[in-house]
Amino acid sequence: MGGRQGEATHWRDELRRAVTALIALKIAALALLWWLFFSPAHRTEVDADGASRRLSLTQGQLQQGVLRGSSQAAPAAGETE
Amino acid sequence: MIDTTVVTLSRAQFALTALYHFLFVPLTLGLSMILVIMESVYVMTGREIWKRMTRFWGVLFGINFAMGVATGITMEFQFGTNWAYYAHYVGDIFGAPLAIEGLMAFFLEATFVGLFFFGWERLSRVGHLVVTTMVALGSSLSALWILIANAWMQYPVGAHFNPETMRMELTSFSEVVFNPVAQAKFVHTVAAGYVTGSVFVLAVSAWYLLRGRNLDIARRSMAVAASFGLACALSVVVLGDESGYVAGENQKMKIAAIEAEWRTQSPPASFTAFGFPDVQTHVTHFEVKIPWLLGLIATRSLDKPVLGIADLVAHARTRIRNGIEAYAALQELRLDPSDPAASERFAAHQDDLGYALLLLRYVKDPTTATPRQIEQAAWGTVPNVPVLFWSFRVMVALGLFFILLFATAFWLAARHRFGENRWFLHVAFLSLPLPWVAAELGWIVAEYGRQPWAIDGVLPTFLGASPVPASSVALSLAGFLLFYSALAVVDVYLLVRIIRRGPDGLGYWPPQHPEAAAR
Repeated sequence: MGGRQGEATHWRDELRRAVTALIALKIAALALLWWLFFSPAHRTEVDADGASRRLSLTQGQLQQGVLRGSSQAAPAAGETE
Repeated sequence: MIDTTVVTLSRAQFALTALYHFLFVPLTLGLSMILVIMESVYVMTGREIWKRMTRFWGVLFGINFAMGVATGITMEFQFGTNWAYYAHYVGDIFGAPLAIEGLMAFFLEATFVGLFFFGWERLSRVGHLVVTTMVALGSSLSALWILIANAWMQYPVGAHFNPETMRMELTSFSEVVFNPVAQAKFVHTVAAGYVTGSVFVLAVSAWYLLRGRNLDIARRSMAVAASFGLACALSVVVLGDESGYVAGENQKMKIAAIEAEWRTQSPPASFTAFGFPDVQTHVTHFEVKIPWLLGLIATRSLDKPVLGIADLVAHARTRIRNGIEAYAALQELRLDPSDPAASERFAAHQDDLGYALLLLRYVKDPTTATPRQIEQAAWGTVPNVPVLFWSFRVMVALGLFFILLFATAFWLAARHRFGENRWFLHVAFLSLPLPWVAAELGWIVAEYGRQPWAIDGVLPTFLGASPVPASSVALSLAGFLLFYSALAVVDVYLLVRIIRRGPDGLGYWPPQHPEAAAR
């Protein structure tokens, strides 16, 4: 009886350790993925002006300083002029 | 100008993940319904063997289901990481069905799939059957909402472009939901999934019969697969025909490319059963034609023409010119949103705005496009003809083969003669990979045939990609390749292991009451 209880406790401890290790591993993997691909540095924020630039709608006007904000004139990373 | 390397890598990544995910979707759809059939027989007859069959095939379903979930989630993330402009431009419409899919279908599936595995001893027979039915319903609902989203990419309805927000906005949710393309795609895809599940059960059961193992379960499983599979294989062809008709109405260029119909034929158009399309000379060599068939499939009439590629390119040329007007008006509206003249001009031509955007591949400002650039953009609306031509024909040939396979299986099942026909068992076993080949080719026809558009007539694919560094996309693509290869190995290992063990090797076999097994 006592042997069976001890076995069950041992099994439970082993399971707890395995589950804890797996969860820790999963959190680490998710953090790595976030850091590599989803952190703010990797995000592409798109708004109406961003979409305008993508469609080259504001290029001429931006060069002439018609639209507000000089930063809007800069092409986004990955785009070539 | 746009960095085409990033676009190509992003497209490759999405194609890889979508095609890989689609290895699991059809089997989940098919097996879940087969589980419902098997468990219904158990509930109606009370015979234990049907419960054991449901549990055995249920384990294989579970492995496949887990893989499907794991590989499906990554695609939704890609809309944000790799396709940020796409997400902005059409997210207002495209996001809704995806969100509903998660909330309505996936939650339903995910909740009940646990009860399916752990509820056998805790729920009543009918209660458990309800659970299994909910899992199958959840799978089908999931497919419905995803295909509603996808159909909107093929045939965008119920939305308009807002020059202020620079995005498409939803005007009619019901039009999006009841999009005719969505209805046709849904029934065709789900029926194809049922065929996949049926071929899987048929092939694995044939393997047991060839080895003389698990005969009772294998014979019954084959009978279920044969009858369900025959009905579904016939449905796939009929519903595929409906899909062809809907595409003939709404995606004429896709149909023309699938048929390699370079020039408009006088109605009723004949169907090219075989040939070698030559994209340089716009001729299909050694073609074998079936009179009238294409006209009947695409127009359901004998007097309506099916437009050829040359005529559709001329049509695209006109739309590009109209689109330039819309683009010029949009330029003015971006400077002064209250300009009434620009608003009026934009309203008159906005349906063709997407065609002007095709020019951004060749020129910075579409309003300055030369006739040659317009010609290039117009011919750019033609998808890859040889790929579509052959993918479609191999898919159709496989569809017809499945009808023959299931009809033979049904005939043998009706005569209880599976065991005597080893040739058929070998054919059934060797057919195992074929439904996946057909399903992937069907997906290629649908999605590759949509090119050069992300949203047909609205947004060219190359404009939807995020301007992230190419190295980032290349790195994540390599990561996907490695991770998915590892998953494939694990998946095949688990499936083969469970199949080799068979119902005898699983924990709930042998039954607690051996006499029950004989019933």
